[in-house]
Amino acid sequence: MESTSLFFNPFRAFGRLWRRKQRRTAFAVNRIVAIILACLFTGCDTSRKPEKIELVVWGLSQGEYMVGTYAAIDAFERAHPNVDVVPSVSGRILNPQKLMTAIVGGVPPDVIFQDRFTIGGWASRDAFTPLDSFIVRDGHTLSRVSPEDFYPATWSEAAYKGKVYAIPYDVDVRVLFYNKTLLRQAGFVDRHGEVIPPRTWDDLVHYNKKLTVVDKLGSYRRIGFLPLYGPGSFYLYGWQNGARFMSEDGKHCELTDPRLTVAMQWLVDYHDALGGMSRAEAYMKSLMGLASDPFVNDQLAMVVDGNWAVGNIARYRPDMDFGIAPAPVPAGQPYITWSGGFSLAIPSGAKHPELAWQFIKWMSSTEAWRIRHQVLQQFYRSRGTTYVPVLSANRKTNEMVLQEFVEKNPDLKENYKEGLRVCVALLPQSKFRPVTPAAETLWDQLLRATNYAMYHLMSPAKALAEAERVVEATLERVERRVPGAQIDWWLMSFLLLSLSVPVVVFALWRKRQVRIGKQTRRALFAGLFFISPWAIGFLFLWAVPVAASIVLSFTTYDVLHPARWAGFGNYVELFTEDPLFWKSLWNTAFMIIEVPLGLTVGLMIALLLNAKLKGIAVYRAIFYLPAVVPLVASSILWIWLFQPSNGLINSALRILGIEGPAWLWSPVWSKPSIILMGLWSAGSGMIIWLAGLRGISDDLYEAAEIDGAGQWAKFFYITLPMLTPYIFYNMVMGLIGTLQIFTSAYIMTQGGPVDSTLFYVYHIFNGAFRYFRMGYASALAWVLFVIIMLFTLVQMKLSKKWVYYEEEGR
Amino acid sequence: MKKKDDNIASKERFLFARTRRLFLYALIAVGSVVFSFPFYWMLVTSFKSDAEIMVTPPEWFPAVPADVERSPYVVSGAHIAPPPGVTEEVWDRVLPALEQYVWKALVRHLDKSEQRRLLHSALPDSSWEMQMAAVAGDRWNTWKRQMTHAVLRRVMPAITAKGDKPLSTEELLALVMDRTTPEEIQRAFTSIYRTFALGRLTAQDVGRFTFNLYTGNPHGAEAWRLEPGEAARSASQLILERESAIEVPYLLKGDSSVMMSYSARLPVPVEEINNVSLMLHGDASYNSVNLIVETAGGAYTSAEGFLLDTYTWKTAVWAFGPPQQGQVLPTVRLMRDTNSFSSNIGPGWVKLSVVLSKTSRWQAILQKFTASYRELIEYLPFLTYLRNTVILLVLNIIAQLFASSFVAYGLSRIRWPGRDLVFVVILSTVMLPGQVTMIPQFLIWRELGMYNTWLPLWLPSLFGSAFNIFLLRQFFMTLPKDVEDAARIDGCGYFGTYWRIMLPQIKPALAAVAVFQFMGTWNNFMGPLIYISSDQLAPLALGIYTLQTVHRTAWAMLMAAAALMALPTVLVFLFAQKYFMKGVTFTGIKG
Repeated sequence: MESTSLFFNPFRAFGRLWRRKQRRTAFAVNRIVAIILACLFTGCDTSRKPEKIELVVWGLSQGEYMVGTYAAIDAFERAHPNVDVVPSVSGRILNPQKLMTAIVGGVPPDVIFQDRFTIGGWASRDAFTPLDSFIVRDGHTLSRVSPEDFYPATWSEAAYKGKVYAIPYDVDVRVLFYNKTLLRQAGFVDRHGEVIPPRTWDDLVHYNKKLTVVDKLGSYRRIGFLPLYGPGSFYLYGWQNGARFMSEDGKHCELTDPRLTVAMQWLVDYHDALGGMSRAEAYMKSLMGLASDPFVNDQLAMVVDGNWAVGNIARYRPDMDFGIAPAPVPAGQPYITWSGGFSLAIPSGAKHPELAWQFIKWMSSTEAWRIRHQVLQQFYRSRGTTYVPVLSANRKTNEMVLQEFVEKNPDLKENYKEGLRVCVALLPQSKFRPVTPAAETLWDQLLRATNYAMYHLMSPAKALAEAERVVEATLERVERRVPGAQIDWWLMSFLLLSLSVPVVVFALWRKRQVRIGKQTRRALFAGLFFISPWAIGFLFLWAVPVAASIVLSFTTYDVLHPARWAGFGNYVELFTEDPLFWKSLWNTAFMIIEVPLGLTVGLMIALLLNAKLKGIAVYRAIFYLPAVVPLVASSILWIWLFQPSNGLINSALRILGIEGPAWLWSPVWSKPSIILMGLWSAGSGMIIWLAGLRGISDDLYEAAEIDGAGQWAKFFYITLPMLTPYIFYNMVMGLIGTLQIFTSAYIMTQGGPVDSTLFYVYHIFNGAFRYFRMGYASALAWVLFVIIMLFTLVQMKLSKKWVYYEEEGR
Repeated sequence: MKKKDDNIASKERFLFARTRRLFLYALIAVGSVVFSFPFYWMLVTSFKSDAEIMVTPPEWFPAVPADVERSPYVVSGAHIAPPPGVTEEVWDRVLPALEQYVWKALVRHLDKSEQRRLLHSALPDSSWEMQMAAVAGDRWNTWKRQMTHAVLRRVMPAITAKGDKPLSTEELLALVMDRTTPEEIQRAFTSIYRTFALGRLTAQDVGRFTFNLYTGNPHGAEAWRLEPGEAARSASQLILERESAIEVPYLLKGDSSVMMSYSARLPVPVEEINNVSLMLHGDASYNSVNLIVETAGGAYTSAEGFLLDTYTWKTAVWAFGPPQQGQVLPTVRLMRDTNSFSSNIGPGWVKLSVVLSKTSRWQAILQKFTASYRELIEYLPFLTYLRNTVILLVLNIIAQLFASSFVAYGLSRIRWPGRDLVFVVILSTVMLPGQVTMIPQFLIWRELGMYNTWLPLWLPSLFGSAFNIFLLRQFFMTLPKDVEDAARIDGCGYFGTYWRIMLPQIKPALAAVAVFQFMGTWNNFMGPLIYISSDQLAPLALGIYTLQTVHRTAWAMLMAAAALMALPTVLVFLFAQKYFMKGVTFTGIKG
C-alpha cells in the first residue's frame, strides 16, 4: 500500500512512535490517568503479561459451535509460543465500515475472515494485501498453498485482476432438499417405490401444486416449494437459465439479458400462483429460526438451501427421511449450482504480515481442518447428536473430510452420506458470484430488483434495467473514469498561504499608520498570548481543514491512494447521478416538520409550567429530563418503545383496538417515528421560553385587562408577539439542528428501511467513512453549508417582518 | 346594586380561576405521565426477565419472584382474547365448549405419559383424584382452567377468519380441534409447568475435546443419586423439550438443601479437564445450584451459585481455570476446597455433587431485579466503557475550563488592537457546520498517527471552544475593574491577575462550562465513532451502541445500559441546574 501524505508531516514519525508506545507501554497523561482511574474502578490489576506478539484476527463468528475453530487456533498458538492470537467478532456483525476505517486509520487486524464475494471490492481499493509473493516464495515447500488444490469457483472468487487477495476457507453448495415422506404421500414415486425429486422448473410447479396444503380458512399449512426461500436465490435461477450477470471481462453488467428477465418472470408467475408475494412472504416470515427450520418441520416440502442445512436436520430431526438432489433447472439446461463461503485475507498495513500468512496457511491446511472436525464431532457426539461436517474450499481437504468424517462415521445415516456426496460432486463445476468491485452493489441491487418485481411494483425487465443502471454507475466510477492529475499538496499549501499575503501587507501598513505606545504593545503581546490556545486550534482544526476541505471537494481521494483532481466532477455527480443525494435531501427536508411541531409543543409546555402552582419545579424537571438524556440512550430506549410486535406504543394502541404501524421498520413511518422521539425532548427549549415569559412585564397584561381582553386575546396580542425573539432563536437553532440530524438514525435505523432515514449528514458520513470517498463527501458537506446559510439568511430576512424587539418598539 | 354585581363577578372569577387551576393541574399531570412514561418503561424493562418481556399484552410491573419451597408447580395463565373475526358474543358461547374439548384432549395426553404422576405432585393435595372422581371443587376448577387456557393460548393465535365473514361456533370449534395436537398440548403444558431438572453432563479438556460424562449410557441422567437424608422425594426421568433429563422434585424447609451425586469415570486425567458443564432446567425459583467436585487429588467447590432464574434450559459451566478464549457461556470458577477431603475416590474417577439450596426471599428479589445490571457489569465490558468515559470527561473538562477562560480573559480584560476583530472571527467560526471540517480533521489526526487513540477526543478542548469562550467573556465583562487595577498596582502581571484575581470571580460561569462540557463529552457519539476502532478504548456512547448491535434483542440488558447511561446526566442536571440554566439563558438570549 502506498499511503500518501496529505499535509507536511514531521509529526508523522512522531505519531507512529506515539501509537506504538501507546499500545505497549504507558504513554503520556492519557495512560497515567487511565491507570489511576482504572484502579479506582476495577481494583488495581494493571500487571502486564509478558511481551507476546499479538496477532489480531477479525471476523470470527460467535457461539458454542466455534469450539473447533478455537481448537485449531490453540494449536497455532502452541506451535508459535511467542504469539498470542486475539480473535474478535469485529467486522462480522458490524458493517464493513469498521474494517475499512481500521485499515485507513492504520490499525487494521492482521487477519480477516471475509465473505469471499466481497474480496474484489476490497482488492480494487487496495485494502487487502496481495498474497502472490508469499505463495511464490513458499515455492515447493511442504506447507505451500497450491492453487490447483482449490475448487475453481473458490480460488477465482478470491482473486482480482490476476492477483490473489485471499485464501479460500470454506465452501457451500446450493442443492434441493426434498422430504421423501411427503413426496411419497403425494405419489411422486417410480415403479420401485423410490421417490423421484423434481428435475425441471415445470416439475417444480407441478410438484408444488400437489404438495401445498391449505387449511379450511385458506391459510397455508404447508407449501411445496418456495423458490426465494434462503439467501440470494435469484443468482441461481439466472445462472440456470444461462445468464451470466457480468460480461466476460468484468467491465459491464448484463442484467438486461432477456434470459434473466425470463427467469424473473418465471419467479413472479410462480409466486402469483401461490397468491402473491405478500402471502408467500407472510408465510415465510412465520417460519423462522433454526430449531423450527420449516423444512425440518414439514412446513416446506422442498427447499433449495446450502449444504449447512444437513447439519440442522441432523440436530433437530435426525430420523427425517429426506433426499438431496441438484436444484431443478429449466428444461434442457444442465444442472448448475453456485457456491459462496469465507476466505482469509491480510488487510493492507497489517503489523505482522508474515505471521498472518503463517496463520492463514495453518487455518486453511488439511491438518487444521482435521482438528476442527474432530473437536466438533466430539462436541456434537457429547450432546447426543450427529455432526455433519461443513465443506472446505480445498479439494484435498474435502477428500479427507469425506473419508474420515462422512464415510467412516458410524453415526451418519446413508441418506446423509449420499446427500454430502451429491454436494461434493457438484463443487468442481460450481458457479460463483462475479468478481467485480461492484459485487456488493450487484448483490444489493439484485435483491432490490427481485423485491420490486415480486411485489409487482415494477416489471421484471424494468426492475433489472434499473439495477443494471446503478451497478453500471458504480463500475463507471471505479473502473473506467480517467483519473485526473495527482495533487501537489506543497503547491496547494503555498498557494493558500499566499492568500494571506494581502492580510499581512495590510496589517503592516496599518501598523505604520497607527503609532503604538509601549503600554499598548505590552497589552498587544499579552492579548496575543492569551488567545494563543484558541489561535492554534483555529489554525489546525479550523482554517487548515476548511482550506483542505475546499480543495478536497474538487478531488477524488480514498485515503489509500493519492488524491487526484476531479474538477467539478463531484458536484456534477451529486446533482445529476446520485439518487441518494436527492433522497437524503428529501428525507432531511421532511424532518423540518419537527421544528414547528417542537416549537408548539415546547411553548405549550412552557406556558403550562409558567403557572404559579405548588410543586411546579418538580413538573418542570419531569418535562425537561428527556432533553438531558444522552441521545444514544434515548435512541435505544425508543427502538424498544417502537417495537412493532411487543413495544410499548403498539401494545398500548392494541389495547385501544388499533393495530399500530411498524414504526421504524416501515419506510412510511420511520421518519415520523424519529420526529415523535424528537418531540419527547421538546422540553429542551423550556429554559429559554420561561425566561422569555418572565420578561413580559405585568403592566402589559394589566393594561390589556382594563381594555377588556380575554385569555386568548392576551395570549395572541401580548404573549406571542413578545415572545417572537425567542421563537426566532429557537427556530433558527432547531432548523440547523434538524439539518444535521444523524445519531438517532445511525443507531435506530442505519438509514433504512429502503433509505427512508438516510439523512443528509448520514449520507456525508457514509461517503466519508464507509466508502472513503473523501472528495465527494467534502463536496456534499459544502452543499450542506450553502443550504444552512441560505436558510439562515432567508429567516433573517423574514424575521424583520414578524420578530418584535422591545428596544425598537420604544 | 353595583356592589352585588361586583360580588357575583368576583365569585365567578374565583370559580373560574379555580376551575382553570384544576384544569391546569390535570393537563400538567397528564403531560407528566406521558413524558415520564418512557423512563418508567425503561426501568421496568430493565427489571424484567426475558420471558416477561416477550409477553403480549405487556406487564405493567416487573414480576416479583415467587417464594418457591416446593417444586414442581404450576403457574396461572391469563385471560384469552377472542381471535380476530370472532365476536365477543360467539366467544362467550364457544369458550366453555372449547375448554371442555381441550381438557379431554389434555387428560388423554397426560394420562398416557409419565407426567400424570408429576402433575399430581405439582397440584395441591388430591386435586387429581378429585377430577378423576369427577368431583367438582372451586379450587380444582381454577387449576383446570389454568391448564386448558394454557393450551388455548397456544392454539388461538394461529386461528384467523378468512375474509370479513365472522367465524361461526362450529367453524371455530372445528379449527381448535384441528389444531389441538399432542405437540401443542405438550408445549402448553411445559409453558405453565415449572420444574427443576438435570440434563446433559459434559466435560471439556484443555484441547477443547468434549466428553459426555454419562459413560456407557447415552442419556444417563438417571444415574444421579439423591444423597440420603435430604428433604426431597425420589427423582424420576422425563423428556423435557428434546432433552433427556432427570427431574428433581423437592420440598425445602428452612435452610435445608437437596444434594444429588454422580460418579463418573474420566476419559482423560483430571488435570486436563478445563471445565464441566451441566444442562439445568430451572423452575424460576431463584434457588441456587452449586457444584462440588471430588477427585482423588482433592476437592473443589464452585465460587458462586448458579441461579435458577428461568424456567428453561440453561447450561451451567464450571471451570477449573480462567475461561478459555471463545467461551460464550457465563462461567463459574471452581475453587480448591481444602476443608473437605475425599478418601474413597479412585484415580481416574470423579464424584460430582449438585447442591440445590434455598435463596431467601429478599435475596431472590434482589437478584431478579439486578440481573441485567449484573450482566452488564460482570459479563459485558460496561465498566471499561465507563472508565474510558470518565477519563475523557476529566481531561476534557480540565482542558476546556483552563483554555476557554484563558482565551476569554484575553478577549475581555485586556484592551489590545485587533481584539474585537478576533472576537468576531471566533463567533463566526460557529457558523460553519461541523461536517465541513470533520473530514479534513479526520485526515489530520490520521496523519499524526492518532487514529484509535483518545487524543482526537480531548486534545481539541485544550484550544477552547467558541461557545465557551463567548460565555466566559460575557461573564468577565460584567466584573468591576477596581480589584484588577489594585492587583496591577501591586505588581501582579497579566497571568497572575487572570489566575489569582479573575478566575475565582467567575466560578459560577466555570461551573456552567463544566456542566456543558460534561454533557457534551458524555453524549459525544460521532467523535468516538469516527476515531475509535478498538472496543477497549470506546467510551460509553459508542460502547453501548456496540452492545446494541451485538445483543439486539436483549432488551432488559439494553434498558439497564440506557438507564445507567442516562442516570449521571440526569443527576448532573438536577444538582447543577442553577449553572446549567444560567449558561443556557446567558448564551441563548444575549447572543
